[in-house]
Amino acid sequence: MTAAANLTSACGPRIEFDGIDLTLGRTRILENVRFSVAPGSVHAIVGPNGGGKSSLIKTLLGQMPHQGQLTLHWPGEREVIGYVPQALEFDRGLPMTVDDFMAAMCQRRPAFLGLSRRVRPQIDAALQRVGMLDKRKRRMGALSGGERQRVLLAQGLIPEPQLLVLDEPMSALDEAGIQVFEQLLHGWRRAGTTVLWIEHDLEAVLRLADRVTGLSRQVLFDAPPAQALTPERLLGLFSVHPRSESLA
Amino acid sequence: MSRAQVVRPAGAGHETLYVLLAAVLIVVLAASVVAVRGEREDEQAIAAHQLDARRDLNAAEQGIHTDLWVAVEEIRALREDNGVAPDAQALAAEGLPPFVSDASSQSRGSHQWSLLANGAYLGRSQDAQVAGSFLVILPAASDAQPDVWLRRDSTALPPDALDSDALIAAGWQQIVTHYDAGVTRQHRH
Repeated sequence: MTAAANLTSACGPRIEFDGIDLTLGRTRILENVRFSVAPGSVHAIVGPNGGGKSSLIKTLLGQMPHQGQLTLHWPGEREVIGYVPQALEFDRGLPMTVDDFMAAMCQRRPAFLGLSRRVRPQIDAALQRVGMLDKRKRRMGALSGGERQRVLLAQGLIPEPQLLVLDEPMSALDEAGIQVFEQLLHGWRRAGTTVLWIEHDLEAVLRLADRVTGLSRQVLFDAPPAQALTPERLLGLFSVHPRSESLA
Repeated sequence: MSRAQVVRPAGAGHETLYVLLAAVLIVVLAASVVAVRGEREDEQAIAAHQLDARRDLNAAEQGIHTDLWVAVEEIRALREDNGVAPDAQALAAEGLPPFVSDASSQSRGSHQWSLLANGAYLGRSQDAQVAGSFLVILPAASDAQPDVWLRRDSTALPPDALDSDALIAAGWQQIVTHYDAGVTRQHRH
């Protein structure tokens, strides 16, 4: 059974952010964040650096001492969240191949014993989908930034997620990688996987997202991309003193 | 099947609660064990005719009392060797305090020791201001503790009988030692 075969049965959850506040130390990072992510949609979050996008995702993953109600409404029995981080921090000289990394992420068996027979087909399929199958014996440190990002995408596919959380997946991708990512995104949309996607590339958001939320400490807008990504709103979003307009 | 999963804030709040609950549980357990199994050890009261060896004797008397406890072991050994109890002169010849006359015995009242016909040793104080007179009754059993009596007036006549009532009537007081919470260095079972 391949990851691609699993896709058809997936159905993503609805996510409700209901008045999320997050304060770390004395810094107010999120302030009354209130929006919802429709099941099976591709929901983009845009905003300036330090606007709280990554903190919002960590809150969703249960790693932040937030206040407010954050609820995931799962429609089915499978409740798998896939997470693709922004970057992977590790020593470049680490003798860890792509296969080792996938084994460490996807199986219980120790990675130095090789790939488990049970997850090997899934790992093969995932690497195939991101176009890294022929580089699976390469050291992680020897990969380019885009290739490493593809490997991170691949580990997010195993096991088959119903909710996929992506933290700027395209920032390091090259042209071919972006093609791969867009194919994956179409696949997730067909399969009904909910995708929460932080992105800087507004053109990609406009093209690929179903809905976009502008976040700069608070929600500045939450609308379909064609309505949301107007010059006025974007100027407001990326200005030093962001002003909310969609809260009213 | 649909399910709403609430994402709980990360933090040590509930862990702190669990640790506090565990601590309370431990305290309650310890308190109940103490309440169920604990025993009170109050100070033992001593009778009117008795003296506490630690509190009621002066320095000279305490010294003699301690020496007597050691000497009784020797007296027992000699009695077992020779079949008869050694008299006071023999003990003095052995150099055994408090029977020997030396500087310390003189400073403690220069007791005149003698073996009475009834088997007790009597030490008559020559200076009742410094220390009282002692009467030592050796027990019959080899492991029993010696019975030591004290009399603080100067007319320490040999007692007619060695039973407690007669000694009490004659004005002797029994020196007792006991183990209670006030004792820290001496532990006898």
